[in-house]
Amino acid sequence: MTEALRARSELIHPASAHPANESAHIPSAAVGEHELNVFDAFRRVDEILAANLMVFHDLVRDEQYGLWTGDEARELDHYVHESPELKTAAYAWITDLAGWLPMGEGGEHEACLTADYNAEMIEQVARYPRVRDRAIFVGDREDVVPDRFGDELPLIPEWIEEHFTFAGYITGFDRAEFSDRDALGYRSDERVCLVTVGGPGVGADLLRRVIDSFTGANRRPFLYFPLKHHFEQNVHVRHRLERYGAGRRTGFDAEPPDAIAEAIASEIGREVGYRPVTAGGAARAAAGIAELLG
Amino acid sequence: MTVTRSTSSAPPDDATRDRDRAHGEQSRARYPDAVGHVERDGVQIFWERYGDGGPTVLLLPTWSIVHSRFWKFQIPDLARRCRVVTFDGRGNGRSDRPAGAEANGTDEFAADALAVMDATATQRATLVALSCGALWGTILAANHPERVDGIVYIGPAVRLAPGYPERDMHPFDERLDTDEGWAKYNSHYWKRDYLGFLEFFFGKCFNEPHSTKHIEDSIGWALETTPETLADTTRGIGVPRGEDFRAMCARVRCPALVIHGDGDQIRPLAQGAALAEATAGRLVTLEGAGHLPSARDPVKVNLLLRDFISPPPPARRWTRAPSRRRRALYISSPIGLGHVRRDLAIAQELRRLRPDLEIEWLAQDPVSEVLEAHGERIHPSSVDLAGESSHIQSEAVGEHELNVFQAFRRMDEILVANFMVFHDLIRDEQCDLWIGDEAWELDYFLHENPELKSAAYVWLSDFVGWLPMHAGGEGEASLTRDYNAEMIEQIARYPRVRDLSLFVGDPEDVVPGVFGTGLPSIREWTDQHFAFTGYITGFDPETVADREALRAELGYGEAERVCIATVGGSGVGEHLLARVIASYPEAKRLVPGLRMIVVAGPRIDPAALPAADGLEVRSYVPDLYRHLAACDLAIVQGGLSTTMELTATRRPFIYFPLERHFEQNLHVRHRLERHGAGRRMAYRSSSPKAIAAAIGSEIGRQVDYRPVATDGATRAAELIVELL
Repeated sequence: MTEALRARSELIHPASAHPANESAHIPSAAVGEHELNVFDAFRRVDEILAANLMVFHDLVRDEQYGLWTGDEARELDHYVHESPELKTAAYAWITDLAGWLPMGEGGEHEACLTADYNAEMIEQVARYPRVRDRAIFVGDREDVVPDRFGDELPLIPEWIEEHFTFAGYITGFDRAEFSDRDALGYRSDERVCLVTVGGPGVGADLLRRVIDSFTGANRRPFLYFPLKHHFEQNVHVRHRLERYGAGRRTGFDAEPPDAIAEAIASEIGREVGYRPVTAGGAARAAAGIAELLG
Repeated sequence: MTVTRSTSSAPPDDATRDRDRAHGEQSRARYPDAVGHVERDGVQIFWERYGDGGPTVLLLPTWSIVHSRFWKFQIPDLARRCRVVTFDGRGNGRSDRPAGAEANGTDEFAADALAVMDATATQRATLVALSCGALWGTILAANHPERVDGIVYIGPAVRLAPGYPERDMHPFDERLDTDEGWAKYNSHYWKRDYLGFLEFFFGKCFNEPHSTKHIEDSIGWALETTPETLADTTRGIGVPRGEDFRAMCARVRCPALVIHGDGDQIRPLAQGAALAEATAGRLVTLEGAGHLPSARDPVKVNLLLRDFISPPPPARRWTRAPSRRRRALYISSPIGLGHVRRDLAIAQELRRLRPDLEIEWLAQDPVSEVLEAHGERIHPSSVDLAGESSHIQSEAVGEHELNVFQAFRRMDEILVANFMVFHDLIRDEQCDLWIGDEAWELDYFLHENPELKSAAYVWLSDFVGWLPMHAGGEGEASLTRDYNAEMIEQIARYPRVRDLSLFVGDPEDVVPGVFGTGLPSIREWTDQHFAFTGYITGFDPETVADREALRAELGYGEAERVCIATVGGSGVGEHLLARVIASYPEAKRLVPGLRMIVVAGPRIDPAALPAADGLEVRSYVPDLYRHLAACDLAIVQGGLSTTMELTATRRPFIYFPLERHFEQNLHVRHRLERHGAGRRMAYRSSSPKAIAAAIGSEIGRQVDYRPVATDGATRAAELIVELL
């Protein structure tokens, strides 16, 4: 993360050298092939979250900020609710995920745990409403999954509606900047199939399998392989993509290399009718946050 | 040979007060527990001691342009946990003014400090040295390590790094051909225009905006000495010493802390940094601060001093966040008694809406007495509060006159002291909510130190804007503008500090006009930043609606025409009561059946008032509002609470605003005129005969006042509970 920020000439606080490495932890929690129980992994970063909160604490004790913006900064959100006297600045919480959700295969045990985590969060926000001066959901109302936080807990859409403002989705780039294929070095007669696993290091197995089946292709439809046991990818993201009519979800286990090749062949270059992603999300989020600065 | 003699006395409050008053000093937040003189070679040095427990702090003198009163923001706070000793440096205050440079050398100041330590039986102390005080502080720390626990330097004036060149280019004792800028730092100029120098110098010391009061204070202390004496002390600082200063710093072994503003225009930060290095101490840079942060950023400096001298022990308990009961701390302004009733009403409504809410009060007399009588819980820290009410009282100098704006300005050290009490309370105990009803210290210093805000905070007020009185001239207009501008800037810069600002009244109760030249319209700004509760009388009008029953209960006969004269809880109203009493014989002649009752209140001795045949004088009357609701005419000051009570109960009344009191003369008057309520009279021009005539025409008159809201407390509470 810090590398990407430095590349954009952002100022990295020297205390950033301290935080225990969260993203290194997540792959270490990925045990099977293309599999990550991200809820469990989150539970197992507890000591890292506590360590990082202390780094944050020392920083804000010694330096004055008008505003803390936490984009899924869970250590901050959790521990400031646990010690609300430590809140000494305006605080904006940003997330694109509403609610821990159990995966079917996790059984009742996981359902029980996710409900408990959700309940704690709901209680924290109810008891200390002043902690989050802004809660911003990156997405639209309809992107919120239509489930409950757990048995006897509120409906997620209702609770989110009450506690969050909606920024719309934030891609972080201007699509107009990427309209020129030539500038990126792709010839008009090429059919380019880009295979990527994004940031975390969990996707190596998928990547290998896709490379095995690689044929060479051309346009913007996509196949996606949610990580197994990953509730965010399988539930939240899937819900959002289905709403956009976007992407073809493909199961990792079910697809041998030649099936992936066939899927590539049938999807590549296809004209897509996705619901447009709203522009201006970052500006909406920033406007809401800027109000806190006076 | 040095001869030392010492005298001391205790407790000297009255002597200190008398001396302060003679010098135009404001009342202090804390008075010394012992004072005395120590004499060295015939030079008398005056010292004070505060508190008697914990480690000793010796607040050293600095350059004799000021004396020990410049520690006024530190003394009350430190004395709560330390033994604090301070003294006036030779050349100012109550110490002697020996002539010549030699008699004012740095070694003499150091020796004075040791003599004061001996005279106060102080074996060891932490030294706090401001500016030039660093010179003698370092002599003590280096040469008497057995007497010094540690040393704090604030804006040290030490030549370990270059000073500002524009300052060094003008020789002190030569005649110069210019008076511009630092050329004013010149003994010949001082003789010509001492005040001109002081204004220049303290303007440089306090280069932060909105420092008018700090500059005025400092000039006042500087005027207690003469330019000749000050020149001698200036030359004394330059008397060469045997040892190089840097070498002496290297011999300082005790812990050292250097606090230096990077905006210091007297001594550059580099000098503080070099001193920290030379003494192996720690440098704390106060960004944006000038030369005297002990006065301009007293909360931060006090916290640094405490942490260095005697770090606070951990709080005895901490409650897990999910287990915490919902707690509100209510801070009710003690200036006058007017707010307590409305605050009680709001608290009651809050409890109705949130039965699980615990409310505690940080309050002082006379508010705390009323609260206790209502079964409210007063936080034990309240005993540490310095008296705001008695301060305001001490500011009433003329007849029926109180310049309340100046009285407020002159309360600065009390506000700092009381903010520190609040700070300790909220550091150790967690609250969900702070409610400050005109709790000025809280509002001002939270905006100055917004990192200390750790709960939701509601500000309540019944007026917005310091306004100049015509009699104050342009000077007062410029000061009120400056105070308003600072408040407006604070709120614009830190909107998160006040979660809610409540105006006790309607939008139309806000005065027209602007905050000052070039500043916003008060109404528009208030509309943008406040919510309006409507007026809050604090009592249920139903309880006084049946006037006949009320009169019977209170013993007022049907045929009697009852006139009550009261100045509420204020001690400022003696002259008004005396004049009303003087009008009584004539009024009695004009009004058959007149029964006049004068309520002296808790602060005026009824025996001090003139007597008259048939006149009743009472001291304290509980539930006075019920008597006012039953009377045929009330004669009161221009305070908001009483006049609005009378408006709400629809009684005729005559009000005499205190002269020079902008709130009574402008804000309250505006509100009363909007309600068509009351007859305003000026104390100065109202003879007893005129008062009697007014009584005759007003008593028993039918009134058509605009009705007063009855749901204000509910509206306030509904807005406040949203924060919970």
